[in-house]
Amino acid sequence: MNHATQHLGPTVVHAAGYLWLIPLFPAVGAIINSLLGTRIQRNLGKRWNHAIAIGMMTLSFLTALRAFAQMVALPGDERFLQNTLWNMLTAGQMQFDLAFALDPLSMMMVLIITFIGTLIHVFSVGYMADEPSYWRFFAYLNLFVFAMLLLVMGDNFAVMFFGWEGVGLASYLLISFWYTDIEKAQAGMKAFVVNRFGDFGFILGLFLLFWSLGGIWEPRADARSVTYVPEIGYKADPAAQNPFESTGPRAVVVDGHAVKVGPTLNFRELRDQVVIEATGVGEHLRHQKLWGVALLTLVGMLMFVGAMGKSAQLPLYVWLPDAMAGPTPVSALIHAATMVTAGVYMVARLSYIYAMSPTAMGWVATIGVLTAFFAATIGFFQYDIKKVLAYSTVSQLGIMFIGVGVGAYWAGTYHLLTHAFFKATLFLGSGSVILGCHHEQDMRKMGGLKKLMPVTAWTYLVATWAIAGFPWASGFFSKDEILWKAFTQRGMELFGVPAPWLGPAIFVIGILAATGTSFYMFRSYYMTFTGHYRGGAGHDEEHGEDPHSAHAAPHHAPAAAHAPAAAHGHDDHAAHGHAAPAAAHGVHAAPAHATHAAPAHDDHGHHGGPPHESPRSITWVLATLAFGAVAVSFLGIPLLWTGHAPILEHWLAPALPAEVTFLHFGHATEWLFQGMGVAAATIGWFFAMKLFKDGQSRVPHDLKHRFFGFWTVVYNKYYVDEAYHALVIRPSLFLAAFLSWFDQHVIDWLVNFAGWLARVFAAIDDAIDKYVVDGAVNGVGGLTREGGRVLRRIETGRIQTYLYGAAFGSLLVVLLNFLFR
Amino acid sequence: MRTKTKLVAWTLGSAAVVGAVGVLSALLSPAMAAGATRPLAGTFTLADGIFYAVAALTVAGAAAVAFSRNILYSALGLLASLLGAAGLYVFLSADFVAVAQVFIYIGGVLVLILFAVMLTNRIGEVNISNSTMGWASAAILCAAMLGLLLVVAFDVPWPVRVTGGAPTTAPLGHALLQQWLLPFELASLILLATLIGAIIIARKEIRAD
Amino acid sequence: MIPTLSHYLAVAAILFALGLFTVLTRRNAVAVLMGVELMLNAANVNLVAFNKFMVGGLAGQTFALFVIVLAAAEAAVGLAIVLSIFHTFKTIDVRAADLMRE
Repeated sequence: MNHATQHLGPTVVHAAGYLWLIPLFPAVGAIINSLLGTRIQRNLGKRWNHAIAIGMMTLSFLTALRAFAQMVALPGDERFLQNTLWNMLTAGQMQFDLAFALDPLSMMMVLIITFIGTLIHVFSVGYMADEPSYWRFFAYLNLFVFAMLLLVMGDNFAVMFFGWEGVGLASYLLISFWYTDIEKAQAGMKAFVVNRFGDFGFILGLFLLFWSLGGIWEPRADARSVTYVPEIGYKADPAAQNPFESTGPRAVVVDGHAVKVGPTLNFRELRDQVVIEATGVGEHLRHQKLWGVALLTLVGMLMFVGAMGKSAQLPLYVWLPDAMAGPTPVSALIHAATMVTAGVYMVARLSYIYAMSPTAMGWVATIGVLTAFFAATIGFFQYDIKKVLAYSTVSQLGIMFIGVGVGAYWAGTYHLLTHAFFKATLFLGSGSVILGCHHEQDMRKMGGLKKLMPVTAWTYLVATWAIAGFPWASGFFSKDEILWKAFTQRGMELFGVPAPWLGPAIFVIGILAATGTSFYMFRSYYMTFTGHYRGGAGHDEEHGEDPHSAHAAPHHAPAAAHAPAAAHGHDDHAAHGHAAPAAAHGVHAAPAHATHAAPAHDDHGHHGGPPHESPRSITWVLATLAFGAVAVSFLGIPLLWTGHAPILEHWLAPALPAEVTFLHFGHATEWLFQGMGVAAATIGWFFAMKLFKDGQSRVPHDLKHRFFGFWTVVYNKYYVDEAYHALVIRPSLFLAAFLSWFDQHVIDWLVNFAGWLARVFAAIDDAIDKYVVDGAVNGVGGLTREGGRVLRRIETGRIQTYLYGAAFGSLLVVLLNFLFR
Repeated sequence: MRTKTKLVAWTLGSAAVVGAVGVLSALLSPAMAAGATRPLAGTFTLADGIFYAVAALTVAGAAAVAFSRNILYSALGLLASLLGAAGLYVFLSADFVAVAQVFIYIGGVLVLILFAVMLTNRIGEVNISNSTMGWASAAILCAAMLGLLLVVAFDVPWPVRVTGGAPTTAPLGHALLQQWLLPFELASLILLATLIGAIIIARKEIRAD
Repeated sequence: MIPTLSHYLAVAAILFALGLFTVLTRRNAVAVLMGVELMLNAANVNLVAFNKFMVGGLAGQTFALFVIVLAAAEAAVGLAIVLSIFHTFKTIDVRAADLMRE
């Protein structure tokens, strides 16, 4: 494929003063709905709540389209739109502005976010129709889109990090949207806490990168050094021979362009100084070491820890399956299409940093492929339709990280795009199924829905084709490109050790994961949509809790085995359910419907009766997304087929300036590998069809009993949650208990001891006082008493105590600084 | 009768201060007319004298805050210290900040503090209302902190670059409404929130009484 | 011997230390607030002095103004809380307000 050219110039910036509008609209929607939402809902009806939210999303999408039009009109290597609002902070060499920028990469992300976001808002109208706090949902959704847009549009790390944390917040709010349910509230907390771990790594990497850009180095001979004067721009510095000794912002002139160098938070400035060889920054970075480890490797690995948290990679993936506690549109938007891909976006955005460190690349790709395989195997045995999709998302994110890890940045990003479409379709399809089945999520209680919900079934099938990787559905092109690139990549290292075998190994495991993906996705399709309806009547479970937590699983196993056998008598059950709608649900939904606009929604005011197709707002969204899942394949038809570079690769090239070398193989090999991709998909599909079509085969049941131990382990997700519980949560609880015990016994004892000591001293003091009437002794006694008092004050909770700590600590830090100068 | 004695003492003290200021100004006014930078003795100019006087006022006031046993004297010490700081601002050619200091701190904050003192202490208990604790350790810590700060102040070779002493009020106004518009508006918002918050916090309890 | 930057820094250092001492030793919440005001003033003197002697322009003075504004806000809320504590506990000893300890 065509690699980035050898001599890259500085980014050409085009001003676009309207970019701030793109995130502004969702922010306005969030503000209106959060401040006035309850009144709007009460006085004007729910339709105004969603009208505001969807309207803002549409405006945002249209503005993004406008930016897209402007960008397309520019020459290929000048596609960079920038909009600075104002300076937020300047401290030394660090400066950050509230500024937005769009390059082809972030443009693609913005279009995904606003387009799919708008569709999911529309979907939510139908899905959340019964929700009493409707306004809150739309306020959160808009808040999420706002934060996500900041994340991808930020011109510097600060804005990006703001968005990075903002999406975490919105995700937390939406996962625990039904916060009265303790399990859902805990799932939200889990997501938040796990993400904190990742964010810590991310910010450490960020600081390290910022720090490493400082220092003194020599630019190449043909570059001229200048200092940067804010009002004038760049000017030659006659006084200093080496301007790097000056403290102000500095620059290097390369081919008549001034390139700002030195510590920066700005993506464009970072890219320019690193990518342009003549500045010497790349060399400088490559040769820095910290504790004997290449600094870039540390930066890359630490930042990837952030991606692990946000994008649910091993071992920090545990929050994502639990995040399915949130409403399904949230799962589709946040936990499939956009937020979880932030890590991939970040790695692609910093491609030039990662490309300089083979170890960081190997790290990313290895974690990616392990996650892809691991999550795919868990997906085999899940019965909760959303859990299947959740593990599938984890697995697909792993595939994306293979792409950006081995250096196929555009392919990883392309998989992000295709995945956004087909996974959103799958999630929304599952949402439609869940809605149709009256908040039932267990696939064992579904089946035969194809006749009852044709649109949902067809769109789900199309998306399943796409994710399984059949030609002409989009997943094929992206996944095969990634795996092909992994196979041809031989330059990666594992912790500093060259590992040319890593690429082929990744290919092998990746193709196994792809087979597995195809298998469990078709399994979910066949279990849900073919055969007979196995569900009963109305349920009393609120909003479809996960019916099988890890501990409960063995108890459920017999029931599961029973389900296919009982498939015959189901007509009675359906009739029964029809006749007796659950009264409790009807009551809570009734007031909501009084104000609701669309009459099509009325039929799910009662929970019960047979499954039914979802309202038109839902089916239209599904159809659009399924169409998109096929249509985006045109962006990535490989070179092999057409003789041209894929449209998307060409489009993204200016934003991904990393230079990565791949081995070259003949066309025949490449055709062969594509054939292997199709074969993998077909094998998975074939077995899924044999085993699960129409729910007739008893083979799965038998197999499960044959390998029941293995099944139990995988079904319980390899007991990872339990391991976390034992290894992380239990010790920290124990530590807390221990500290509490320590506080109660040791500290109290110390305090008592100090008091006793003070008394003893006072007594001695008294005794001595009798013989040696000396003021100094009085002073000692007083000091001891003071000491006792200070010791006792350690646990007072009084501000003064804390002030002691703060003042003493700051003194200590400054003094240490003097000492170790 | 104690209060009467005190009143007399206060009056006499104030009169003495006023008198001293008057005499001093009468003595110094010819020198002032001649220009403050002219040395009075050695390299010691009048400006230096005023600086040291102002600095002494500031420090003495602060010391009164820290060491006085009577909270009312502490408040008066704070007044002196704040006035001194305003004087320092004048010296630093920050005229607007000095005026703002007088208006806001002395006109606003200090009056608030005095009100709080009056509302929370029965005057008869004033003397015991300001007792201290942990005297020795605090003294050690503060001495260490002071030593460190003084070392930093005198030992660091500050790259000094004296800038002009033009009036700052108009430029400050421009800066506040252009460069610092957002913080300015945010500050107004914070003040509004403070106003409402203070009223709510204080009012509820009074009504409960 | 025009007062140099170091002189101002020294005055500010003394102010800060005395303020810290006040906050550390007083039991009276109002006196604690006074100490906080002293420390804020010390910081302010530093801001204006650095502005005058090293940076130039108006940024330091502007920040001093913002500090004054925030100090006023802090004093208002702080004293309101003191009043509230007084009405609740009938004392303004800072040691009394420790209901959150348990």
